[in-house]
Amino acid sequence: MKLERYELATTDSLMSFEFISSGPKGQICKIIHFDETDIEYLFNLSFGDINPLTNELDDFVISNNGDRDKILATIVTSVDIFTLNYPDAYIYAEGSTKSRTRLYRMGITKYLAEIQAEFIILGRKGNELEEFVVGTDYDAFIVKRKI
Amino acid sequence: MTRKQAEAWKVIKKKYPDIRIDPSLSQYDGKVLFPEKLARANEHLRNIKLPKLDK
Repeated sequence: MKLERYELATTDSLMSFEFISSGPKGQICKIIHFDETDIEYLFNLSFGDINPLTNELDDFVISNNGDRDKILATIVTSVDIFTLNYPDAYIYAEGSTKSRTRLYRMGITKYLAEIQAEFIILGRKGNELEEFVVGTDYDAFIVKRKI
Repeated sequence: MTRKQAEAWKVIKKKYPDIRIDPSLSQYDGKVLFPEKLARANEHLRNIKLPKLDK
């Protein structure tokens, strides 16, 4: 995928990724983290800011740094990298707020062709999963690398 | 890094040459950074059956 994105730093385990968002509000350190869930092979994607003063993580903050698409592309890249290392993994993504989940949906829609070339995308509505349909209001998403 | 991880890392570096390992990030390894979010995900996933997606 050739999307404009930020450079990523990661760990040996490839479970955590960090990048610096750069825009009118300055430089903001962001973290993407994959946690094991109670379901085998299913990882929860978390995304948030690192507070430079307290070093605490915040997944509710709205940065408004004018780089939404670049950030979404960076998150997509982290999923690509993570699943290159863990090809059997399912990735679960649910925004910390409904508006952020909607933002994820917009990001998936925008890059749908690129994402679907390598991944299967499901949308969750309540307890039901279905193949992602553009324009549908989902509660969360599950992504799996095609084998 | 295991041998399998090292092989995956080669593929990743080829695809994304600018990616780098930052040892300071290992502080997050094995930690749940957003516990409330993970708990909510587990709650929502409790009644979901994952389809087999090996297409």
